[in-house]
Order: sequence, then structure tokens, then C-alpha cells
Amino acid sequence: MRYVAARLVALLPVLLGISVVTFALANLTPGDPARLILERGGTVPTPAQVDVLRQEMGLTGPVPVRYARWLGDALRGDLGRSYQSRRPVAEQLVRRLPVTLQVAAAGMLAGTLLALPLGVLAAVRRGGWADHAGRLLSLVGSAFPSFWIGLLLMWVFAVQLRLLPVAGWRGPAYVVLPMITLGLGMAGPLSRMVRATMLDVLGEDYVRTGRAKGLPEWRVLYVHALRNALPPVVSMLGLAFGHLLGGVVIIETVFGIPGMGRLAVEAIATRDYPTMQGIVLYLAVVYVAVNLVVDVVHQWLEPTLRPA
Amino acid sequence: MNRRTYFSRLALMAPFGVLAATAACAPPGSPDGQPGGDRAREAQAGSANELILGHPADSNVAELDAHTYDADSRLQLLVYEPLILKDADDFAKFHPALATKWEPSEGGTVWTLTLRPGVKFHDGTPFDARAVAFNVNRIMAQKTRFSSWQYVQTHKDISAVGEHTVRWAFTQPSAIFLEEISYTRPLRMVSPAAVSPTGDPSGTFSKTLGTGPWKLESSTPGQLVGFTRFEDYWGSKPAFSRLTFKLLPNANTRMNALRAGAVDGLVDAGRHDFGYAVLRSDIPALEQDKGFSVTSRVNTDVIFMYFNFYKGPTADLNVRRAVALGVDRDRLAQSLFPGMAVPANEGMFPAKTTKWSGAKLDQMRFKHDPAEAARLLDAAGWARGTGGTGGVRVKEGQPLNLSLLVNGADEEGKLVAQAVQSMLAPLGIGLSIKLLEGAARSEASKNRDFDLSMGQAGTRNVLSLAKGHYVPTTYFNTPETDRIIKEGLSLTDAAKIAEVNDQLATITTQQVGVVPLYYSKDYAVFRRGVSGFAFSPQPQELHLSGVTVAKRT
Repeated sequence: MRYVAARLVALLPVLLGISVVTFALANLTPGDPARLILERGGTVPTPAQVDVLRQEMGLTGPVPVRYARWLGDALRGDLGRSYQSRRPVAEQLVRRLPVTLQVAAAGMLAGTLLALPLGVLAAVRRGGWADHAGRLLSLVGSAFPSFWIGLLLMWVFAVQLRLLPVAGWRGPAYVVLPMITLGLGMAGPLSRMVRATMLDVLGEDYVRTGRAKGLPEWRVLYVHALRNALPPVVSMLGLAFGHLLGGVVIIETVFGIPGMGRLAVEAIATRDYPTMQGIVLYLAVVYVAVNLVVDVVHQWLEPTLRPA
Repeated sequence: MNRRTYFSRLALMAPFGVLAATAACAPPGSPDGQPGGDRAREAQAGSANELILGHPADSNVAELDAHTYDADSRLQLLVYEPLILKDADDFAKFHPALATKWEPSEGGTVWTLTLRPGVKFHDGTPFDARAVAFNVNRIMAQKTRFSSWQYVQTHKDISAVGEHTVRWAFTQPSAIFLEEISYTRPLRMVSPAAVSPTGDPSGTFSKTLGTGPWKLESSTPGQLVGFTRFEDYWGSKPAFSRLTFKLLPNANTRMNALRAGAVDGLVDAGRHDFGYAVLRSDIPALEQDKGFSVTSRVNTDVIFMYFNFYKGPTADLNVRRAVALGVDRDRLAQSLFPGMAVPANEGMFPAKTTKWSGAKLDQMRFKHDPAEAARLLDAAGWARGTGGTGGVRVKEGQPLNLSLLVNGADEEGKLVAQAVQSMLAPLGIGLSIKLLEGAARSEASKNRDFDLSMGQAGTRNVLSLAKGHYVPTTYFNTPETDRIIKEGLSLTDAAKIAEVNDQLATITTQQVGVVPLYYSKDYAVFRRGVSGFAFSPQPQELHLSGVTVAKRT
């Protein structure tokens, strides 16, 4: 508990740092939101018109002063209003974040469920069909872009076989294709890692001892060997989750899922600073929290890592 | 169980584990399965009483406030109507919409508008003179955002002089008043009850209420927008009662949705955000497929390149002219978009919309003439490079390397840029394509950090387009055009306005302010059973009157 509390306290400067970097990046990137809004009228605004709108939007004044104002509001839970939809940013994020997390978690689950048995099989049957299948999956998952795999799965299962819906987010059936798409991308490298760590562990004395004692093979593999092979895999899962959150942006667009990724793409294109900052902050919190969980699980699996 | 059997079973079980996890991850939400709790509908394509369209827009569809630039303009004509409509083929002509008569007086500084009687907003509020005044005052309350409109700049006051008559006064006459109020936005009629407090021009937008044939019923951000037929609509009512848009930002996904029967159709309404609703590469196959009907029209969007008129090699008229003559529009349109685009041989202001004489059109046309282009470059002192220049011309030791700004998200623009690059190379003009995303490109354009840039404009009345674009920060600007625009804007006589249009078009061509490339086309694809579709006279809007929907057989 003390470890978790210490990590949570350490989180505060991390979040502060992230907020500074996000604010600076958003505000120093070329592109003026006021100008973009005025350009949407189909004409080119004069500098005077842009200046007036910039003033109205609170975009004048030094960046540090604006940052301090934004941070003060953010600490009170007010992330500002979107320049685009004019809705409170927090309201949009609360609506969209769970969707993104569900897609990412589903993808991670699918990837793990595919990778673990495949990795173990590949290690046990080194050079056999499972090993080759794992290698092929790894190649496919890494070499083919996720949007392409997604469209291919959509074509087969939604257009040709009509088994699953094409796109949307309205029930369990809508999760299947996005989760498999994300999972395939993740399962390849993960299964190779499980295989490698399992191969290391299977050569250990205690595995031989377990077998010599007559333990059932599944017990040797899944209770003794896999548990000791898991710590590096769990660490990788934490990193993979961050990667998945990035990949979800594309998957959400392809499968018409109303998550944070689509919101982020639009916010960046329109220089919607409040939304951009809110999204990065939320995702940073999620990412850091997931890694905290991973570290805790890591310690649980590997007692040698626990503080004395 | 031996080890082999055990592992084989384990491998077989893995996919079931995935499916079980799928069920566990089912999207939560309201009882209808919609996240967010909106009243979004379970839309099912193929019905006889509902039309489901795939829509490329993402957000900002739900909050349809006509008096902003935020909402999706493509859906506006369904809900909000203008006072007058511009003729699709002759930009000097206007047709009655919610106003039946419009008359200038006092030297063009006052317009008296007679309104259509018997019109109601979706909430039952009568459409009358007070409602029009509310709409104008609401735009004036956001003057900063709309300051580029001439009627906003010169607005004096607006008053109701009867239940269905409005008097709108200005500080000076405007040659483009009718043109401006016919646009998709911002002057569309919104109910005074759409804001809170009701009727307050500074109030907050709270409800989507217009006079159009469709009422907004429900929306789920990023997913669906649902409309129902407005039974008290003053015009001809739609033949089906429900209209749903599925928001599918990915073009391939939209085509898959169409083929899988998840949507009844896809309709282009101009080239928005550098893309179309209907994926261009799929059109030939859809035209051959008996399960679908495909219709198209040339829209009024011109795709062009504009120059940095102020510095660098393109400040020289001869270089601009050489670029314009070096591009083969026919080859460009036919090779890149066979049958799907029309070469812009009529320039920025096509004859379809502006009734030019044949001689005038000929005068404004840039013919493909590489020999003349080479002669102009020679005359400008750009000599054929030798040695290590790769054939690029050189002047005073500087190679003729031009940069062309293209939006990184514009796939079509990238293709066009590459084609132009290959056409200019034999002339000794080096072209480097600079891909920047939208906001960065806007910034580079503002800072004049480019030589050429891709542009797109819905054609308008020449004077109106020039007013919006011939300003110092953009395409083209000379003291002469400034003077002509300024004087032209306060004209009221149609013949004199035509003269100004003519002058501006001539100067644009002579000075090679822009290089028109092609006019794009709009496509609409429907499943068999959907018929009667005709494109909207307003180029950027969807129009579904006359469409009938039969159940899918």
C-alpha cells in the first residue's frame, strides 16, 4: 500500500509535466484556431478580424499566463469549452473515454488470449506447427497496418458473410471486429515474447524437478513455468496498452466508433486547444495508471522486486 | 489426456476465449444499447419508410446551429431554409424561398423583404417578420465571427413593418447582398425558441428548430443523426418519414456499409475536408453493378493552384504565366479522374454560372502551350540549366525550384500535385511538394512561405469571390483590384455590376492570379429501390425532395 501511495504521489509531478508539455506543444505548433474558424466562412479573414477573435477566445497574452489560467481551471475540474462544438471539454471526454478504453481493453484481452496459449505452444513444440503459426501471426500483425487488417476483416465478415455489423458502436457484435483487429496486431510480438521467456524457464531445474515428481504437464507449464515466464510479458503489456491507445485512433475511424481517438484527430486538425489538452491529460492519466497496475502485478508475480 | 491432446484442445479453445471476452466487453449504455443515453435509433437500411445515408462527417453534426460555422453545412438545408435561393445555373438569378419578394430602395441602402405566409418552425412558432429580425440580430450579436460578410459590415438596423414584411437598412448599398443572404450560412432561419432565453439574440443555442422539411429527432455524437418528417412543412413533403445519417468517417467503411446493406445510399455535396462521400475508386464498379444506381453532376467547386504573388520567382508574371500554360488540364483530368472531373478550361468562373460571351471565355482560357511557356521563361531570364541542375532553369545562379503547398490529408491534392510536377519538369521548372496538415498550411499561406498552393473554391459571383479572396493575405491582390472591388461593392445597377465582374475576371486572367485545374463532380449512389434523387441547387447541401424509398426486395 505504501508503495502504491508513493507512486500516486509521484504521479503529480508527472501529470504537471505532461500538462506543461501539452500546453506548450499545442500553443506553439503553427496554426491559429481563430484564423481557422474565420476561414470556415469561405473567405480569407483580415489580420484585424483574426486579432479581434483571438482576443474573444482568450488567445492573447503570454503563454505562461494562459497556462496558469488553464491549470487553475483544470484543478477545479473545468477543462474549458471546445472551440469546435462549444461544449465543455470534460463532458465530451467523459462520454468518449470509456468507449476508447473499452476498445483498447478488448483489443488487449484478445491479443493476450491469443498470444499466451500460442506462445506456450510454440515454446513446448519448438519448430512445430504452433511455432510456425506464431511466427506467421507475428509477421502479419507487425507487417500489415491495422486499418488494412480491419478493412479486410470487415469485407469478409460484414460484407461477404454478413455475420457481423460493418461499423458502429451499439452492442456486443460491434466489438468483435475492432478487438480482433487490435488483438492481431498485438498478439504476434507478444506470443513471440511468451515463447522466448517460456523457453528460458523450461530449461530451469525446478521444471525438471516438477516433471520428475510426476506433476501433470499442464501444472508444470501453467502453474510453475508460465508464472515465472510472465513478469517480462506483463511489463510488455503495460507498454502495449499505450501503443493500443495510439492504434485505437485508426481503429475508431475505420469502425465508426465514437471514441476519443476520433475526437483527438479532429481537435488537432482544427487547433482546438482545450480539447487537445484535455485528451492528452486524460490519456496520460490512464497510461500512468495502467503502468502503475502493471508494476504492482509485476511485484506480485516476482517477489524479488518487492521493497524490503 | 496426453500432452498432445491437451494442447490441441487448448489451441481450439483460444478463439472461444476471445469470443467470451467480446461478450464481456459489450458496449454499455442506455437500454437501446447506445452509449451516452441519447435517443439514437436502431436504424435498419432497406425499409420503405426510412432512408439511411452514410455520412462522412464526424462530430459537429448533432448541434445544427445555422448561425455558426461549426455545424455540418451539408445537413442544413434539411432543417434550415434561406430567405432566397440562388439559381444553380445563373448566379445572377435568385428564387423565392422563405421570402417571396425583395426590393431595394433609398439608393440600395434599404431592402424590403416580403415573407411567405403560413410557414411554421418545427416547434410551432410562426415564421414572421419578428423571427427574421431575431435571426439577423443573432448574427449581429456574433459580429466578430461574421465580420467578413458585407451585410454584417454595413448593417444598420432591421425592423418588422408588418407581420410578413421586414425593412433591413444598411449604411451603404451592397452589390452582393442577395448573393450573400442566399448562402448556406450563416443567414438561415432558426426559430427564436431555439435559444435560451427564447428570442434573445445573445441567448445560448439549445434546440435545433428550423422551418425545413426535416426535424432533428435524435443524435449520438460520432454515430447517428436521425430526422423525422416535418408534417407541417409549407412545401412539398418528403415521401418517407424518417431520415438517418450513419456517421462513417472512413471512405472504405462507407463503401462496405453500402455493399453490406447497412446504408441505403451515399451522396456527395461538394468536396468537404478534401474528400467525398462516395469513394472515387469504387465508382466504375458501382456503375456496372445492377444493385445500385449512380448519378452525378459537375459541381461548382473549382480546384486550382494559387501563387505567392508577393515574393520569389512567382512574383514575376512571366513565371506565373509559364506555369499556367505548362499545365495540361485535359490530360490531368482525364488521366487522374477519368470521367469524374472536368478540365477547368472555363477558368475560375465557368460559363455555367456566369453568362460570359464566347469571346470572353476564350480570352480567359489558359491553353496548354509548353512552347509559349518556355519562351516566357527564357524572356524572364530563366535559362536552361546545365550540369548538375537536373534540367532545372537557372537565373543569377538560383535554380527555378518552386514549392507547392498541399494539405497532407488531401489524397486527391497529392495526386494532382504529382501530375503538375511531372508536367512542369520538361519546362525546366522544379516543383517540390510540401505536405502540411490544415492548420500549418494555413499558417504557411498567411506567412507567404510558399510559391504555389493548392486551393478550392465554390464558384460565386465574381465580385463576391474577389471580395473574399483578393485581399493582401491570399491569392491575388493589386491596388487596381482593391479599387474595383471597393467601388463595385456599392453598386446597385446590374449592368454596372456585370461590368465589374468582367473587369475582375479579365485582371485575374491577365495577371494569372490563379491556375484553374478542374471542376470536380458530385456522385450519389443508392441501392435499388431508392429513386427520384436530384442534386441540391445549393452546391454544398443535401437535398432529398422527390426521393422515394421502396423496401429492399
